[in-house]
Amino acid sequence: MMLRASSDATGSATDIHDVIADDTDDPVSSALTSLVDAALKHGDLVSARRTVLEVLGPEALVTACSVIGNFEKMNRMADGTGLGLSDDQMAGLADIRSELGFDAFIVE
Amino acid sequence: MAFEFADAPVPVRPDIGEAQRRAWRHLASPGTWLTACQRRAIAEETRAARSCQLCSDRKAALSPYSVTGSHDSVTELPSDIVDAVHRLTTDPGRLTRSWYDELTGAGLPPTHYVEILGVVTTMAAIDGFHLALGMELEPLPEIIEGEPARIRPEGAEVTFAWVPTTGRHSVVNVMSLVPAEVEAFLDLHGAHYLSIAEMGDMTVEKGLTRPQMELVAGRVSSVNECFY
Repeated sequence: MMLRASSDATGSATDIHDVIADDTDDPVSSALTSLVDAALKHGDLVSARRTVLEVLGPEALVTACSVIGNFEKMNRMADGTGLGLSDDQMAGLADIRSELGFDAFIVE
Repeated sequence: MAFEFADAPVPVRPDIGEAQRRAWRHLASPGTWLTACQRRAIAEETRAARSCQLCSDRKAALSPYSVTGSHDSVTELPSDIVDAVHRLTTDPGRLTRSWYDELTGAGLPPTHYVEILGVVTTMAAIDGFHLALGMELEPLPEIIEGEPARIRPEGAEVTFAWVPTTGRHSVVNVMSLVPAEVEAFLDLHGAHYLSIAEMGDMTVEKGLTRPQMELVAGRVSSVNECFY
């Protein structure tokens, strides 16, 4: 929801599908998602960091790593407490859930 | 001084180090329900969980609840707390309501569980940052003596999560049963990501544009299979 809202607000070309895509043609999205994958799946972090540095620079690398840490925290807060989406949040995300295939995980 | 990031491959913004030092002090201090010694032990267990064989076997199993055994524990914490810390650290996406009910039904109060969660998630944020940036993990802090505050907020009840909460349905309030953990969460959140004031600003930039930050956030949640 925040990705779509911020992309709309800034006119960014960041594609919401890159959140789950195996690969992307956009070098910025590719660098950032590869960094996340390397950090969380024990991949080649040295190479992933080098690519972020080349494509986006040092400040971006630091922020990307701090956001990774932040959401490692927030994911555990949500999953560790059984926090689900509110009805309003579910309704607001209907099109994104459908686009990304998340509705397949909903148990009625 | 802690968090000077001498081995960082690039300069780190000062506000990140300042927030992590405050988080370290909070972690090492007496909590609301747990002693400083217990809080530090929980932090030690989060690090031990990364190389725990039982956690690895459970992660690989179709159901983590089908694999029994003993964790590679490094502290004297009770086994139910060790199990909770390791599961929260290594496989949080497959925790269930029945697991939580069994844990608390066996005697661990929800207040204590939420405080354990606060420590585990603080470690996830700080160690996650260090690992992603290729730095050595910061040595754990020395404990600060004192007594837990033992204050439960009035009106906390089970509404939008397994645990009792106060306030509206939001991840910000999910640890509201232990307000000190919410304060610590928001402090770290502001440096690692965005402050509450910045959350509504879709054009904010911190080395990354807001959409780029959200792409990273969404990708982390996708890999962790967290659908909140």
